[in-house]
Amino acid sequence: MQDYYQVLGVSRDATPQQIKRAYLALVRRYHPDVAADPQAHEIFLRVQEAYEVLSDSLKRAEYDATLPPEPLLVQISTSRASLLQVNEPQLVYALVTLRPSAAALQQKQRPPLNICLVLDRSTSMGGARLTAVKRAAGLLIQELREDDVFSVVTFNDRAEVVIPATRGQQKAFLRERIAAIDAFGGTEIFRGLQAAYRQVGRFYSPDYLNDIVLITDGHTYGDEEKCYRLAEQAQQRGIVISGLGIGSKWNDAFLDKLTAITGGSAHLVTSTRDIETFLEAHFRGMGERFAEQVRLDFHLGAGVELQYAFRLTPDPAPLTLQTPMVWGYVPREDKLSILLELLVQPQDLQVEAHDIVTGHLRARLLHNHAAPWEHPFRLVLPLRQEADLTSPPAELVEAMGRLTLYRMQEKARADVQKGQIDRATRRLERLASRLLVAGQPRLARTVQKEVESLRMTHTLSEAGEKAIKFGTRALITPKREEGL
Amino acid sequence: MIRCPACQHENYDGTLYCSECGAPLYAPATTQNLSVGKDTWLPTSENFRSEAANHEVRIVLFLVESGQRIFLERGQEWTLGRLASGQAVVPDVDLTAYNAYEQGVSRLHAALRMDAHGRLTITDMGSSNGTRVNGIKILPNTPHPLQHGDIVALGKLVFQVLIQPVSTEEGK
Repeated sequence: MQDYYQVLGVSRDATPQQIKRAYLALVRRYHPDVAADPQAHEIFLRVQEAYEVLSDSLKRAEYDATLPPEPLLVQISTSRASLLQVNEPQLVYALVTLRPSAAALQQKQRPPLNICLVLDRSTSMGGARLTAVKRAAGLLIQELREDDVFSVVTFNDRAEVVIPATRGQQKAFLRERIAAIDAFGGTEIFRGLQAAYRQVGRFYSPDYLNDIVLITDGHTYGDEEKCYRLAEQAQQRGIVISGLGIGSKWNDAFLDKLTAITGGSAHLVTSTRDIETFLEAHFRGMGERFAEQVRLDFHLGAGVELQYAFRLTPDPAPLTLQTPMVWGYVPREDKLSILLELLVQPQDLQVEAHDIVTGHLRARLLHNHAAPWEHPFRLVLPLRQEADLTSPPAELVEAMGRLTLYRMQEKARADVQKGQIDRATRRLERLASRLLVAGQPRLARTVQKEVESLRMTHTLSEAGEKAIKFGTRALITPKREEGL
Repeated sequence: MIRCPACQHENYDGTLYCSECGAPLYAPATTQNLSVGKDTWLPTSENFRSEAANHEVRIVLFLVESGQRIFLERGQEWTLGRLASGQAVVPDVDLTAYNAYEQGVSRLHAALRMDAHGRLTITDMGSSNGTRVNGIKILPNTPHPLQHGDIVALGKLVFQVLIQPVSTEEGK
C-alpha cells in the first residue's frame, strides 16, 4: 500500500508548491476525460484523496504522525527551476542525495560479510606488489568476525581457489594459505572473476554484504565482454565488484566500467603501501553502510538524453547510463550523492510541465535485515516563456565545478583517441592552469608533463593519464563541510 | 546557446561550466573553479559593472583554505592585517583568527580601497612576505586593481575577493 506521498510521487519534506505541481501533473495524465487506461480512474481517485490530505497543512501534519519514520531521505535539486520555451536544446543538471534519517540510525552492528579477494598473481605482480597484497590480506583476516564468510581466488592464465568460501575459519590457516601464493603467468581477469563469483555464490544470501575485490596490475586481453556479462549477473544478485589497479599497466576504462555495472568503484595505487590503506578503507566502509544496492530504474521523458551520470560521494566514480543505474551504497555517517546531466530537445515539450526523468529508487536497508526500500523518483520541470533568473543551488554549482576538472581530462583522452592531438593539448593546458588556481600544483605539473609528451610523441603516458584521472577524481570529494 | 567568454565555444542553454574549456558560465569569467558559496552568484561581468555603478556593493573575502567568509563592513577603505599587543595602528580587518600569524601575514599587510566609480584596488603596505594577486606578486605601496573572483594571497593566507551587489530584495 502506497502512502499519500508515494501516490503523488513527492518526498515527505516536499513544499506545498511541489505537492501542487505533482498533483496537477498527475491529474492531467489520469483525468477520466483524457486517460484511456481502465486503471486510470482508480489512480485518479487515489491522487485526489492524497492531495486532499497533503494540501491541507493541518491534515498533513496529522497524517505525517501516523506514518512510520522514513529510513532514507531523498533530495533532488536542479540547476534550473523551469525549462524555457525556446527552439534549442537546454541542459539540466540534477543533484540527488540520499541520507539516513535520524530515526533509522540506531542499530550499529553491520551484517556479516561474504567477501572474496581476487588476486592477480601474474609475473608482473611478483616481488614487492604481491608481498604488499599478501600483507594487506593478512590484516583483513585479522578483522574478520565469526559469522563472516571469506574466500581468496588467485589468477593468471587460470584461476585457483586458494581459500574456499567458508565461515569461521582458523585465522592461522588462512594466513598460511595466503603466504603460499607466488607469482607467474599472464593476466586473464575473467577466469579470476568467474571463480570468485562461484565462491561468493556458495554462501550467497541477501542478508550478507556480498562483495568481490579484484586486485590487478595488468591488462586483460579479449575477455572484457565476458567480464561485463558476469558483472551484470552479479549486479542482479546484489554482489558488488570493486577494483584496485596497481601501477600504470592496467586498463582503467575497463575496470571503471566493470565496477560501475555493480555499483562499485575502481581505484589506483601507485605505491605498494597504499594497497593496505585501500583494503582497510574498503573493509571499514563495508561496516559503515546504511543501505546498499541503491539503484534507479528510470525512463527519460520525450526528447531527453541522459548525457552524464557521476557518483560524487562516497567513492567518486562514473555511472552507467542505462537503466537500472546502480548508484552504490549510502554510508551511515554521510550521504550518497549523484550528479546527472540531462539534455532536453526542444521538440515534444509538454505544455506546463515536462517529465525529465521518472522512475523508482530502490535499495536494501541493512539495519533492517536487508529490507527492500522503494521510493518514487520524479524530476519534472515546468515550462516557462521567460528565462529563469533564480541562481542554481550553490551545492550543485560547487559539485559541478569540481567535476569539471575531471571531465576535462576525460575529454582530452577522448580527443587523443580520435587523433585530435591539438585539441587534447589545448584542453590539458587549460586543465593545468585551472589546477594551479585550485591549489593543486603537483597535479598541474603532472598534466604539464603530459602536454609535453603529447607534443613529442602524440600519446599520453600510461602512468600520467591514470595519475591525472584519479588525481582529478580525488578532488571531487570535498575535504570538509563548508559554510562556517 | 551560451557563448563561453573564455574560449568562445557555443554551449547549450543551462550549461554551468563550458564543455570545452571548463570556464564557469554562470558568473564572470574571472571567477575560477573554486568553491563558490551560497550567495556568490552574479550576473555576467558587463551587467555587473553597470549594476555596480547604480547599486551598493559589499565585499566578501572567501578564505580558500577553510571555506570561511569574511564580510567587510560598509566603507571605502579597509586595512588588512593582524592584531598584536602594543600595536599603535590597528588593522580594520583583524585576520588573527584565521591563522594569520602562521601564514605570514604582517600586522599591517595590505589595504583594500573602493573608489567613487566602484573600482576596487589592493595596495601592499610594505609587508614582510608580500601580496599576490592571481599568483603574481604586486609592487608594494602601489594600488593594484581587483576584480570579482580574483585570488589574493597575503603571505600564505589565500582568499578570493567577491564583490556582491546588495539588492533590496535580498532577505538572507
